[in-house]
Amino acid sequence: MEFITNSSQETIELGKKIGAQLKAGDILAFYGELGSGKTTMIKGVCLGLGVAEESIVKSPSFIIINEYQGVYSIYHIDLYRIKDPSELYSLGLEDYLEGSGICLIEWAEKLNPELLAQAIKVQIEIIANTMRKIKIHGLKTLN
Amino acid sequence: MIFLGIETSCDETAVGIVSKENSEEKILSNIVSSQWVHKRYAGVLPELASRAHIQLIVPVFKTALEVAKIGYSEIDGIAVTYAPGLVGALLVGLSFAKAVSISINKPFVGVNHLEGHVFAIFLSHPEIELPFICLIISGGHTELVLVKDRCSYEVLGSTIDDACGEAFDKVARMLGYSYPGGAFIEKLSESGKHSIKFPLPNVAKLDFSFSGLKTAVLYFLKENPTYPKEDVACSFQNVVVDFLLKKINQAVEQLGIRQVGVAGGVAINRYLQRRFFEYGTLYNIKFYFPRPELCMDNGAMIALAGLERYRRFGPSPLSLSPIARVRL
Repeated sequence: MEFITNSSQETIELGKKIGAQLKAGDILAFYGELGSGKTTMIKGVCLGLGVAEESIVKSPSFIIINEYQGVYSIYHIDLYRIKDPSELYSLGLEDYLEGSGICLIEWAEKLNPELLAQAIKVQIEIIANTMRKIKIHGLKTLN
Repeated sequence: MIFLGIETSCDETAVGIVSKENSEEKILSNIVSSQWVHKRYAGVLPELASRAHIQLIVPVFKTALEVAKIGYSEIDGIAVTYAPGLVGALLVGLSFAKAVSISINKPFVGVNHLEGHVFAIFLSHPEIELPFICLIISGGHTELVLVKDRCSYEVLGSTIDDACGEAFDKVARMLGYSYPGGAFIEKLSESGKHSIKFPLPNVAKLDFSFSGLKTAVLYFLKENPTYPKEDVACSFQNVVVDFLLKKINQAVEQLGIRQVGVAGGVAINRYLQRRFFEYGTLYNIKFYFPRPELCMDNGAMIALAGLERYRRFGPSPLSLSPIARVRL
């Protein structure tokens, strides 16, 4: 599936639709350069998963993992600062991936692809200022 | 009373020891792993990892005692950061603190990392009058807090997306430099001009936002790939400071409080400090910055926060667990 969004608001709306379709244990892997809108889209996904508006979804770049509570437990994971994949073991990342919560992973290219075999993959590309091409793999339909 | 403070919420493994006799507060030692490891081993620290904390906590702890020239028996309590931060990292400090507390039979006190940053201001400026407004700006946090009294706070606003220091790091990365980016942006800016007008972030109330500014810099660099990096850095740094001052001004006017403390790693930025002091002179606001080594994550600020919490509320239960996200 491929979508074009023309504003961060539209990206959030697309995220909401995806979020509403997720089920326990789903993993979403986000790919896209700095500033492409990964965190923005994740805000939408979280809203779609029933996370309250006032529970602010912010960038976890520094602390790596943010947790939110929606219909499921949501783990917002940001691998931006990870250099060495072995660091991921000490974060207990595999426990999150195999758990019953929902994992939303930014900079997923830093992970071993085998860990993401079952993941829904979201690729965000900057077309122009505020305009984004968003490709989604692993999701059959979007209501 | 002597308290030992342990901080492992992010990259630094830090242990500090402070004493408070009558009302005089003194830092007896304040050991931070990055500087210390470089000095002793000329080693390179992994960027982050609980494993690094596990390796460093004992030697940093022992060094803190050696430098302070005290033994276990002289410690009256152990303070430790329990939140917010990386859970695996917090867990190392927390477990170690509990173990020390049990083995020397002295009270154990959990401290919120952000409260520690507030105490860095008390350590550097015991003369500061209460209440004051405190801006905490670091790689992981951007919070505006009303400090009503020691251990009594009200959060006025915080970032809705990226942290202030994170914006510095990410813009530095766009300019081709890796983490940490704060010092790099500051240095680069010195030889740059404020030639680009990046939009001032627009966010309601006393909250902050840096994600839009980050994206504005990205768009600018895509359209102007050969533009002098110095000017991009300088213009970015300029608008960050303008934005922070705008929010501080808003808080000052709203609350009628004209003392403002500024803490956290970004507070080290000398350009920011200069602009804040100039602004303060113009608008009659008194700014207080901690000493540089107390702006960065450190154990002394946690030790003093723990000491004051202990005097007011007693010890924390040993069942205290780390929490990734928690408000002050």
